[in-house]
Amino acid sequence: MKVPLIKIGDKLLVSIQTTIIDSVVASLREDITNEISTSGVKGLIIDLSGIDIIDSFFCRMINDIGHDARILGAKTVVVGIKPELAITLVQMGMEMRGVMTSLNLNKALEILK
Amino acid sequence: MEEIKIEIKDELDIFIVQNAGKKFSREIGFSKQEVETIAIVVSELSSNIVKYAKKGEISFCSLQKGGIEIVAQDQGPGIKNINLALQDGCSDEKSIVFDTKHHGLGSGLPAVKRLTDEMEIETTKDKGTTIRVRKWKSKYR
Repeated sequence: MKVPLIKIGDKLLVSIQTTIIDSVVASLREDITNEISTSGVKGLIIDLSGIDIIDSFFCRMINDIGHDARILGAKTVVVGIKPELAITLVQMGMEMRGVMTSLNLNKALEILK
Repeated sequence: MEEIKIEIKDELDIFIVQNAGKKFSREIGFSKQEVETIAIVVSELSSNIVKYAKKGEISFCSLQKGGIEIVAQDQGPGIKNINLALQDGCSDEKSIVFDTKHHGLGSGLPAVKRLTDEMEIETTKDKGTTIRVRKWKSKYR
């Protein structure tokens, strides 16, 4: 399974539509960093609206992808986290430090303007 | 008392056990939020099994007082230092797990501890680990 990377102007949209296994997340990280470095996008939007579970590994990977992107000159915005997942993340003590977050795609596009 | 047991052999079984955990906890009357929490607990415990022990099993049973007990059992390398394993950001690089080449992130078990009400860990070098956690419905806590 591969998560599609969609390039729109100078932004890269990664929409994860279903819960994915750890090895797919790890290869997604490589795909994203490669795409940013070859296409030189300035913004990365990760849409998690299709995700039902964010465990510690997934959360860490999102943070790492955010750091990767920043080093490669792109800002990352994570969108579409479900409210119950937000509560669980806080309860778990997980933080999304490496990335910005916004409610939806529209707001993310404004942030990256 | 109802009980479900699921074998864990690879990453895909993590999905199966997550969904089974959600279904089970929903059926015994946990709230939507609590079901999410239980799914994460199951996810962390089962990915630890895949990562360190390769295979094992997860079982759920409902507790009479209004809760769920989740038991994760494996015959893996064992946890060397449980106190360290329960600390945030302490990965197995600092020799939490006996004999492993894998690198964890050090946030799985601390998260499980935080998300549940009771946690017991039994572990023996080269014999395996059993982690037993219990979570009560909020009104019984």
